[in-house]
Amino acid sequence: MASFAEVIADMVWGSKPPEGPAWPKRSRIDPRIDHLRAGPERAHALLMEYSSPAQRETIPHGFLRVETTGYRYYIRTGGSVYTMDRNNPQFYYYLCVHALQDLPGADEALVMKLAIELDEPRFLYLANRINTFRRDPSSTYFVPDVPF
Amino acid sequence: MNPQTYAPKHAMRVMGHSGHETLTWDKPDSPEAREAARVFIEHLTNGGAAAVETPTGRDIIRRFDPEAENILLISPYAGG
Repeated sequence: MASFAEVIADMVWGSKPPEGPAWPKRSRIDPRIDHLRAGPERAHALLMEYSSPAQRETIPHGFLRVETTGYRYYIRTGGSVYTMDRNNPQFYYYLCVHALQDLPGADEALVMKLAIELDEPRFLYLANRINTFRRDPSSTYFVPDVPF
Repeated sequence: MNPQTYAPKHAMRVMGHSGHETLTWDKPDSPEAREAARVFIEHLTNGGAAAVETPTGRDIIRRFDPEAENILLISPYAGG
């Protein structure tokens, strides 16, 4: 005599239960889920593609360094940018600027990088200069000199 | 046409919350190019910018160029 579970299985699947797990992976239900999960990886790949070799070296240190004629910028993912005046290097400024879309961190850093490189005056006009810091290693906000 | 070696001539990448999406087209007067132009105009209307690769580097464009090889739509940003 068939057990209760076998009767139910027969009602649901026919005489033979399907192979593999009863619940397929979510990505098999909706392939867009894989696409969403891979978003940060694609953003990182795009950032690497648009960065120069010198900038790529800075990324593992947690910053993307962008240099212009007057300033040196350290871009962190998530919208904070530190900048240092090349003519007055004992001070640096914290600029608060954000993308208006919800973006992966690497894409947000790319937005800042391209904004600086393509239209620096507009970037400096829009960014809020939060504070000016002396380059004091004991400060909470100290930006370390990265060896590159 | 071998689908494994086929690469579209023109591409436009649009940043979004799940990473970028890529729109591609082959001919400037194709429906895909018109769709890319619509997305481009909508993006710039919302305050975004667009960068294109040039022989000397990168440049900002304000009009959709269906002949451009690689366009990147940059999200709008503001002071925090």
